[in-house]
Amino acid sequence: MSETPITTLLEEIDAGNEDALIQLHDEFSTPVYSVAYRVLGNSQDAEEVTQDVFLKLWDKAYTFDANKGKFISWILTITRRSAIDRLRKRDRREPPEESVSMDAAPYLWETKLGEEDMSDLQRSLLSVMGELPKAQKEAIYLAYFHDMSHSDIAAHLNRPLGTVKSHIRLGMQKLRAKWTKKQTKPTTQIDSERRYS
Amino acid sequence: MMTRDDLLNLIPAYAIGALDDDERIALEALLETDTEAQESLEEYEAIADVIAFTVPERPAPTHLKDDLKARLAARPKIVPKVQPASTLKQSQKRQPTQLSSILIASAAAILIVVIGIGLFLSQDTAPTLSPDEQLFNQIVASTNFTQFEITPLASDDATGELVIDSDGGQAVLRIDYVPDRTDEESYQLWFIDGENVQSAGLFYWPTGLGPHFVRIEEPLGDVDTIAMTIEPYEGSPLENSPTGDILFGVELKS
Repeated sequence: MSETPITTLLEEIDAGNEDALIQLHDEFSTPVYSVAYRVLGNSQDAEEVTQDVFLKLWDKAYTFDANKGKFISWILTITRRSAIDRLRKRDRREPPEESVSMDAAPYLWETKLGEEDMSDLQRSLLSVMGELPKAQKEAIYLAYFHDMSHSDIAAHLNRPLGTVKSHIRLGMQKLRAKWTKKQTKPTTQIDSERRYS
Repeated sequence: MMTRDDLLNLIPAYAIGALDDDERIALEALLETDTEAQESLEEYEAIADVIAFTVPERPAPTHLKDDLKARLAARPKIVPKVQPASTLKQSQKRQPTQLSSILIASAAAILIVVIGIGLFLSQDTAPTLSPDEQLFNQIVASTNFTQFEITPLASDDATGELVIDSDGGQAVLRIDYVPDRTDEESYQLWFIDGENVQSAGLFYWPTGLGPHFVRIEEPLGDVDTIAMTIEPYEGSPLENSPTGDILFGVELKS
């Protein structure tokens, strides 16, 4: 793990220091690749998106704003968007089998991405996410990772449109309830704040 | 007809991109003016960020590191330049001879080397703002300017804004995000005035992730809408008409 603060590495990248980018690649290529693979379902496309994300970082490191959130959330958001763009160009909206069978393999929940880098609140939300009914979680995943709309999901899962809408709304509302409850309590300093601020 | 409560109930789905077009358009209209809806969306977007963490870890292939180093070596850190569409199309019409093509290619190669050396020598200096970004900052720092938000169309995530100074003489478009283009494509900006559509320039940003700043050189007098598409590298093959989906629009007159 790098001991250099992320913001310092990003400043070095802006100044043209390739080693700083490689250092971030060492640390974050696995979460980036994992999210890209989750969206695209094959290693070749996931590798391309991973490299594109780090090249974007090379060009635009200064666009990260530490006041708006953690670096890992930011880079994973860029990754998901890039992967979805690639998915759209590929015009393959059918998700890989793995995405729908994830709940059949509960062990997958035991190795969550970058968990050590998350805040208490994020861990709590993740825990609630794991407890959502399968139908709610499945609908949220198909929208989030596979760029599917309510109608797409209803057709894909062969469920009524209204049911899909309810599943997404209820699942997200449960997460929000946890979020709101936590936000009203005094927060504790995040143990990894130094690295990801 | 959806009520306000119906639309508020759509915000969780909007935050993860699950809305169909009709729902999305209706909700975005509400979001423009409704503070409660805006605050709710901010919360749900923060929650949506967490979903990415649920992905099972899959180690990145080890060869990616060397591959990235090779790509960096072939890609100096360059500030993208804007090339007006008119310039490019004029050069196409001239049908350059083989000799002039070689001369142009040679000149371009020399220019790249010179730029590369310049960049190498200036690696220790902090990045400076482009003139367009400086003008943008100057306009938004003034006490009286006009601002128009980008409306995402084919690209759900397109974001940015157009700012115009108080006397309407200077304008800058800031684009925060549009989908990536391929090496064979360009971003093309369009001015739309009723039935008249006019190209306003080609852009070759290396990625869609901005912010990208574009100074609007021409008066916006009669322009109703500014829009952007992804087109072939040398621009839309159609005269005054895009062929790609419109990524976003900036509506200047309602």
